[in-house]
Amino acid sequence: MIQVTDLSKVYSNGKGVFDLDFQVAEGEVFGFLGPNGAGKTTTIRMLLGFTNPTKGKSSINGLDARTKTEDIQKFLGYVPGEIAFFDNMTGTEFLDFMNRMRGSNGNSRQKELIDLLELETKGRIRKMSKGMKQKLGLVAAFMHDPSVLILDEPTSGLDPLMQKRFIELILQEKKRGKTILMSSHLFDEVERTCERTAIIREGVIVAKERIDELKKTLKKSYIVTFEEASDVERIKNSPLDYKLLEDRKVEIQIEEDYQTMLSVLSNCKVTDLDARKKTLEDIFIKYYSKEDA
Amino acid sequence: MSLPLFISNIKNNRMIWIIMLVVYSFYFSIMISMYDPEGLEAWENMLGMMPEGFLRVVGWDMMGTSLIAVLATSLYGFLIYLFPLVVSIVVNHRLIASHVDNGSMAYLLSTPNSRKTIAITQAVFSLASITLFFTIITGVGIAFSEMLFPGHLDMGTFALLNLYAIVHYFTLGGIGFFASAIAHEAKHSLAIGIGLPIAFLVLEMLGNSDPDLSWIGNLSLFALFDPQKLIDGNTGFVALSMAGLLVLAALLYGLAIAWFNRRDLHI
Repeated sequence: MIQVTDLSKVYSNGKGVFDLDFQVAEGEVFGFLGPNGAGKTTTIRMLLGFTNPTKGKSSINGLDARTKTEDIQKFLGYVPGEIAFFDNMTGTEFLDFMNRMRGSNGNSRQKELIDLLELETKGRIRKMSKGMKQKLGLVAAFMHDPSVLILDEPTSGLDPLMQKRFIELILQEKKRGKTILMSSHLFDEVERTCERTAIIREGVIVAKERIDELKKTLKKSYIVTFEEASDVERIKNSPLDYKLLEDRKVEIQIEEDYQTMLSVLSNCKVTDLDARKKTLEDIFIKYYSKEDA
Repeated sequence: MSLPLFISNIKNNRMIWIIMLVVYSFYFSIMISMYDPEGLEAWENMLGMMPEGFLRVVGWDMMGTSLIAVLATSLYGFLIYLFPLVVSIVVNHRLIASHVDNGSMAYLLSTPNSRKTIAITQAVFSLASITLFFTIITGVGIAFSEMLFPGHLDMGTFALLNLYAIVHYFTLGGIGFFASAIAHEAKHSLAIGIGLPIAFLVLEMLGNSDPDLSWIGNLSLFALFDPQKLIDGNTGFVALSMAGLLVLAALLYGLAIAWFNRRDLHI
């Protein structure tokens, strides 16, 4: 279980994170969402014991995150937000090194992960692509089969196929009862893996909700392109909430009223229909507007 | 103490260490081969070609006549601040500051090793690498001397001279290691790790340049390392200096480990 209580880290420029309060229950996958620079990594650094809190405390399975790092690391897996390695090692050398540092000889899980993520372990890390390095970091974090995982933007640099594999991996680990805290700025991957999330903005948690609750509040958005400009008129005359993007291109937003949209569109010549992926930005815009209201 | 980390340090640092050892050994072979037990004619001819001021500054003006005296003033005078210092600066910088700067420290600390364990391992490596360096150099010096001029080298004094150098380098390494452990960025570690020894060297050279300025030389940490006094048999000064250097080294390494254990790491 990860417990964060009244945790603050204030930097000399006044930025930081303030009075964070949340917990991740055992066996739960928890999403930690926020735009770049919101304070996700700052929080995770305190959970890993890298930085000292200005105030408050955090613990993992009851062990103080700052002072009991040695004990915590026995059951923790961590993917850093920044990809940095021992550049001169090959992938295999790095994984062997991490195993030795953990006092283990490696196990079958390591090979499974390498296969799952299609990690190429032979080359020097220095020469690896960003995505390959990220995969290496993932294997290093999961290979000792830790019961708690802290992942800082784990899919950055991964191609869509690998992002999918990663989601499979998380769901697998969730089934095996792992406790996972995962930071992200992509709503999609959090939506598919996490049960609950905390949303952080400018160092403050602005929402702590179940993912399905969060999803309900979001409107669905479709980008429709018509063959003729006259079709735009039809949309104008319909009750649909829309925004004109280009001459013959509109963005339609609906909540659950698919039927209305479909019946209006059935009378138009649609040349392209695209569902816009909801990103965190949309949620933030929602939270901003909530505050404005 | 983490053995896997210690072994990885060896791999990371062996190239620079070996190169500096070979170059320093090469200088040993030249200096020893130029020694002439009958007189110092060859030496004096060579030194005669150099400006007197320069000789004073690097401390070569007071060259003795025994083999050990020649080695002490040449190889343990100015040159000792060249090759072993490069090893010391580079190794100590890599041990902590590079790991923090490029973020690989995050991986070291995401293993069941406390910061203290990591820092102690790196400190032990720092001390061990320079100790082994001078131990091999001692062997090289004795081997060359015995090969070319058997029986001419006062081996006891030569071994003591190297022990003196090792202790001196514990302090120098302590400066580099301390800088490495507290620096937030690589450039800060290097600035202190390189800057301070160079400042000390400049002070010493200024002190040597003119008898009236000798007090400036005493401001330098390097005043505590005076091979000439060892050759002259001033054991009181040497013993006191070594004790002082050891205390300083213990303070620097101890403080570095404690500081690293408590600081914020932005990794």
